[in-house]
Amino acid sequence: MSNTIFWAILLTCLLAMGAAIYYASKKRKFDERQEMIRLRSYKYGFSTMAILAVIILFLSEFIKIPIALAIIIPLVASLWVMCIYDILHSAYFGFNEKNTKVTNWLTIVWGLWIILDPITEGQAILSWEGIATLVVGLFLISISILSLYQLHREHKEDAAK
Amino acid sequence: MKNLKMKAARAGKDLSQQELADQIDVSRQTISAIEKGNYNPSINLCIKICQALDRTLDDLFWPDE
Repeated sequence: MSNTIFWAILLTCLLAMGAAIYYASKKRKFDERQEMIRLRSYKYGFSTMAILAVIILFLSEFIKIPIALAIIIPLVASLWVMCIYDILHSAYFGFNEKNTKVTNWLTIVWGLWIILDPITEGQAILSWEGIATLVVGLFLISISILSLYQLHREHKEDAAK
Repeated sequence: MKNLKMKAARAGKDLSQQELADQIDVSRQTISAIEKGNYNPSINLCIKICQALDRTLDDLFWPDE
């Protein structure tokens, strides 16, 4: 019974989070240049995912790769490519978004928690599950650090003008 | 090709890139990209820029001979 309640609460929280993210994304505005950049980044991200999926399919003939890792690596890599392209072309955040620094710092904390939580619980890092967790955590941290660096660069450009 | 005419018009109205961007609902980086010649705006955006800077399309966007 307590298991059912736990999963019901978790599902409710996930649905609420999904709804909050969806409505927050509706308020973000991107101008035409940003939309164009984002469409291009979707293309590059999809290509990355397709290429990695083929590589993993080929490698699975020689080494046993867990299905979770085989799914996570192409997904995270494609997200990585998309996010990096968007960040470097100032199309990651909507032009009407404020508090982008706070969002980035919170994401860094989240990434660190994802990486450190299995370690503190004594789980092996070099297991396949550990590697998948590490990949997701590193993705969150790297994107946020790059975004903070880009914000800093743009701030310096503004000051110079 | 850099759009120096647009930059000059913006300076003439004493507007920063951010202020112009806020007026026409785009990002500051888009204004910067247009002035540096790294982005060709759509005709609708060109019209909004001209209206904000009180200039015509020929004044700001017609290429020099």
